[in-house]
Amino acid sequence: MKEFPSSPNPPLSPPKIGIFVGAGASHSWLWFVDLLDQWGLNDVRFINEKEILIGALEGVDSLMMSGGDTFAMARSLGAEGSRRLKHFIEEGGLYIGTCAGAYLPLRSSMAFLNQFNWINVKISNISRRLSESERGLFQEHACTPYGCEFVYHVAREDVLLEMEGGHQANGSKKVIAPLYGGPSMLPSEDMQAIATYRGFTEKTKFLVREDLAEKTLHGNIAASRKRMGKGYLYIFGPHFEHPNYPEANGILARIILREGKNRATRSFRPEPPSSKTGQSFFEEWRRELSHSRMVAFGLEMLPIRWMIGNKWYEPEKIRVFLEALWRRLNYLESGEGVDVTPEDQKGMINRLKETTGLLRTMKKEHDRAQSTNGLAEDLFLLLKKVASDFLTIYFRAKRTETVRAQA
Amino acid sequence: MEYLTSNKVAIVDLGTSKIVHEKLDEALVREKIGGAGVTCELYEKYKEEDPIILGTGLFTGTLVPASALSMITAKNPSTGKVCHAPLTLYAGMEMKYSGFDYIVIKGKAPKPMYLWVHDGIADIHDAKEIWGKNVWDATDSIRDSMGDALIQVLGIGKAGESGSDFGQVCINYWASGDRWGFGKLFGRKKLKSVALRGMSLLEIADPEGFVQACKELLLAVKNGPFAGKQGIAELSAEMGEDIRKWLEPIIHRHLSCFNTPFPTNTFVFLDEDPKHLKESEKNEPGFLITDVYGLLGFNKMGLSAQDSSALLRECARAGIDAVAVAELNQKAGMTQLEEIKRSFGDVKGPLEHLSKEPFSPWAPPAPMFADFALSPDGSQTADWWKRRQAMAYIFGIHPIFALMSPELTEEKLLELATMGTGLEFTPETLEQVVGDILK
Repeated sequence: MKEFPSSPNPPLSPPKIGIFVGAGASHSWLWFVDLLDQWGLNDVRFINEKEILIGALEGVDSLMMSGGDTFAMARSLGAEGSRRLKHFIEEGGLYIGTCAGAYLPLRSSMAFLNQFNWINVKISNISRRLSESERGLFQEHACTPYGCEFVYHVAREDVLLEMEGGHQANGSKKVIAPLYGGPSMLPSEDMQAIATYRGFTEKTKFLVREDLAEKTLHGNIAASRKRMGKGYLYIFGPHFEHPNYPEANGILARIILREGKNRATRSFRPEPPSSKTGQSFFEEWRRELSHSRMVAFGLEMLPIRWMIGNKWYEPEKIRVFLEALWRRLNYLESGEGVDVTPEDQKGMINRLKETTGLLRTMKKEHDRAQSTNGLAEDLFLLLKKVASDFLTIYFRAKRTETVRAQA
Repeated sequence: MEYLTSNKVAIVDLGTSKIVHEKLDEALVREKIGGAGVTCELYEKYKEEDPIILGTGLFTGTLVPASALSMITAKNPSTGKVCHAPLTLYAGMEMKYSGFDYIVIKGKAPKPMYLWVHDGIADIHDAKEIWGKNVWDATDSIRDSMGDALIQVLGIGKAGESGSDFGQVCINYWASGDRWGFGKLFGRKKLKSVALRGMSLLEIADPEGFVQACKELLLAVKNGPFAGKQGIAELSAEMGEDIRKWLEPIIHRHLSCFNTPFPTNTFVFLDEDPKHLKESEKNEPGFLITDVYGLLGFNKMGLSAQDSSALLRECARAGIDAVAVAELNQKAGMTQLEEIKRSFGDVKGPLEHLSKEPFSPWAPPAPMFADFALSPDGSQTADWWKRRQAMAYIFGIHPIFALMSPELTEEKLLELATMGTGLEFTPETLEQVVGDILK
């Protein structure tokens, strides 16, 4: 069975990277996991809003804010979270935001979002910029409420971008990345454009007429950079971290490597496991993960989706979590064990069992024509915890392996 | 062993509830290729413990046309001879992806158990909730408790539990090609079911070459003489028993086993109009006929297609071989639907055409539709059939489809085996394996 591929030459001293897995983060933070893993950037920790509020950003050079529900992110972080994030960047931290994570620092008058307002820019895909007749063209699912207006989405999947500011992929300024609701911005003196929307491809899925999609996106800014104090904010409308787009991944990884090491943070010292996990832990993990995967796969056959906060969740997103763990399991099973206390092992297995239980209940409730929205809300919260705990172990093992190899 | 394999063998001891995982030895594959070649070897190794060996063919679950077959290899409880029963539909494929190429089940459980095999994990579960249930209800119970309707269940009903010589190991809700009474063996071991599910992947040594060769082979095969024909009644007609008009009024659709170009199974509607185009209002409006001989047995008793199919359904629920029910009831002079239904617990006696071969007579004994250039006097047919079945059981090819596809030559299968595994397999190796299986 294929292991998850890794970079053959991990950097000697990789930046310490935090991935936000708190309120509002959907599933796309796992794409960051794939990207970092692929590039051998394995000094990774997973951070939620509560941890940010008690100083977790002190331990990282970079913070990845992925897609999801911007409003939930802003609400959970609040004024204090905003202050800590701003301080982190100004002290030399690197903020990478994609999709929802890109909307977060943009200027807004809306409650909670107005606590950020770090980039003075106008969003072009907001409905006040449309005529009444144009507004009527949007399908319900192509709009997200945004105050008294709507953020609307004109296309999904591939968009063609032109890179600026010296960013290139294989010597070309043209790069393709997928768009899943991220912002399109009008030019602003408050930021430096690094990518502009230039067109579409055969894989683009239009949510409105192509001419309207073109009017909304073409020539507008897809990604930009802003200096804040000693650090940088990078925001991306399209998902440069999506695992199917290696050229876009490369651009993002090079930004992390170049800009993400401005802060002095503690170094990683591998230590021998104090309470080594045995094969029984991984066997139990495999058993439960297998149970969860098969029920989740079955849910994908059902006509079902859930509105959680301001975001639709489809059953396919469940397996993004589970597969991210499944394809890394062989690596851990074949290793020398990892340092997890028996209590933590028990907790991890119990939470995975709870995940399987929730999935089975959702299936039964759906078969009985009952609503499963509340269960789905619990499930996605639990999945974030299950996945981030497991991936913490995984990256620790990877980092230990890299450090030992380099020694 | 790296390619076309999960690289795992499970040794399950029902007596102690211990399960050991072993790696599949590459040397064994080089010597025995796969499927029945390996299951016979495993049977010999554990024969003192009356084992049941579940095994996949080398190509089972791949793009090779008709790669639907896995098998049960065990001692026929009536004759004491080691035999192979085919596992088709989607059960053969699912076994390959369950994370084990072979499963050895030995010992006898102290109480009813079922084996749950998924993604490289094999667990023994208490079967107190399903022991005593019919095959259909037991399958539903396992699927419901796991929350997955795609689980493939090899299970026995009351016939196997009560020690009937004709207890059959069924596949989900349907009859299998178990003509050997392996259901009795399951029952004796207090093994109610083996549930299989897997979402693993197979690696191929030369993926591009293998996929291309499979595509070319499929193109060559699918335009064969069976093109345009489908279903159980066409099989019957080819065997000289034309029941097409008799069965036609209740046919709803035809179904293929995994990746098999000819649909050997026919779904009949018994409780709804077969012309009903909307979604069925009944939970289960009919029955999937998977065994042409069972159907013909009831046909010969003078029963209607509706009654014959209803009896097949009852046989599958009870987990009893319909061929035995038909033959022995006919001998006893019973021809009424209700008295036949009531007879399942009392069906006893020798069958007239008990096969002496190790392969199930579920597959007809002659070429189907196709010309294999055999002598017209039939003198070569029996040996040809044995060899053709051996090929099917080694490589994991549907045993009936193997009789209708001369394009699946031994040379082609060996070439694909080398492409798929990266191991060199010679005609001499194949000859040796076939000889060992038929010994």
